[in-house]
Amino acid sequence: MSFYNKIVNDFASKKVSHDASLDYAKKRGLVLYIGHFTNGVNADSTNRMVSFKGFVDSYKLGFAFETESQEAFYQDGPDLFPQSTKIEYQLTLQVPSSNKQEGIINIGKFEEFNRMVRGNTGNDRANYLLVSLANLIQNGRWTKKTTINTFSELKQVGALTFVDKTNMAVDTEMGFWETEAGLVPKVFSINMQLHIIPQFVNNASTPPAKIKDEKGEAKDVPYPHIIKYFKTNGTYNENDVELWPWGVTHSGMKL
Amino acid sequence: MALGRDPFRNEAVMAIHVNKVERNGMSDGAYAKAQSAVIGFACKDVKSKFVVFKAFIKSFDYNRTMDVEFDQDHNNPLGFKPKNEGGIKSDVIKVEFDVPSGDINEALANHYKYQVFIRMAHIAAEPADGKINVFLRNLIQNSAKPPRKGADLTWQVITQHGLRGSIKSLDYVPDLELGFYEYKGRFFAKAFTLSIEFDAGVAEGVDKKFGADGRTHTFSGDAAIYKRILGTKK
Repeated sequence: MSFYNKIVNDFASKKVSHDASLDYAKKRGLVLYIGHFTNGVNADSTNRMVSFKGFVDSYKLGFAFETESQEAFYQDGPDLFPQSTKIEYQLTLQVPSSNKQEGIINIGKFEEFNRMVRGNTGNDRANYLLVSLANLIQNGRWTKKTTINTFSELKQVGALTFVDKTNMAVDTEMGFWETEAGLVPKVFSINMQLHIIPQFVNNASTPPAKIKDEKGEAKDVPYPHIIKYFKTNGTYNENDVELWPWGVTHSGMKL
Repeated sequence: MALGRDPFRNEAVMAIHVNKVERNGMSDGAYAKAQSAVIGFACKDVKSKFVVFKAFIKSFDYNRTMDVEFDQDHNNPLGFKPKNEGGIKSDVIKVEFDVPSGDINEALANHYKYQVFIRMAHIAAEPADGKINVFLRNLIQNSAKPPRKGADLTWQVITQHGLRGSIKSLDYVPDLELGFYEYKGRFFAKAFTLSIEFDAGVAEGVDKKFGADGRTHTFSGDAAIYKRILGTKK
């Protein structure tokens, strides 16, 4: 079923010729890949994937900490203790098209993405997505330029997320392509809020048996997470992949 | 000290190097160090790990909300009177600062520090309580006697003098107009903004009540300043 995954300008049977922006995005590895997990994290995916050139318009990585208030009788106010962490990417992507065919393909890819977000028709309506945008959205294992051509390659590096909100806005000043099927926007933007699931979950993402830690040395990770709290002796938790979110290692740093 | 072939395999050496904001010889780092215009983060419960950024402060505000409830009062022409006078509901410092880099090495260091920082701010496992110490000279601190101007910020200094509390939110936003360094298949923002919402709570809040202990040090790192303004520390 993974017939949407070869190159960015393909979608089903439609194809447009390469342009400079596609060549640039692929050469730099700055392509947004989104893979589908409608059946939840414990079932196989549909292996459907869409990809967009990485015209990033806005980007934010946010942490929100739920805290618990505790107030002793002698205090004149509460003390706060962190209880849980919500990690969220907010991304706005511009999706331009240089010709009518590319405009149609872009709309098709957006519709595909919209169905992924919708979730399953069964009891489990989870809308888990694997998302990769170079080292900017990843699971901590993007430490060098990586080529993604297949769904299994996306599972190696993609961050497991679920979608909170999406928004699509048409650039009406740029106008529309007029086609037999209707009006196709020349440029639109997609905004998405992606919540991170920190665990590497079976079938959803490929759990690494060993990783390269921040010193570039091999490390066993029994129950890998993209982030874990430091141990009290100042070392990384054994289940932390250590290099999320940017993939910076000690190796090669000249300080 | 002889550092050997790869000095950064030693975590303690790495922590010191990466947090020396003046190390790359650029004037902004030296200036920040000299003025102690640096912000440091450390956890008392996590030995040795700390991060220090140059404090290019974009915004700083301090919001105190008192826990006051109102009762209807027929004798009061306004119809209300405060029921619970005093007590703090929330005590939040919001600070937003830019983290620019002059070259790829500084960008790598900044992003490495962010990787470390978020692991300190992430929910804690026992026995840690998840709180973090933040130190920004006289603006965020817990002590009437902070370290001298220009002193190195270390784990000991930050945990001893930094204000201890809980981070409520933490946002990373890259400056997309400045763009990214491309380095070995990865992208590192040339500059980014960190926005932090920090609540010290009451037990270790920014000040104490007037009264027996009389310890009062809101923003006034040098107790003498407070004395000059009010004539007395209490």
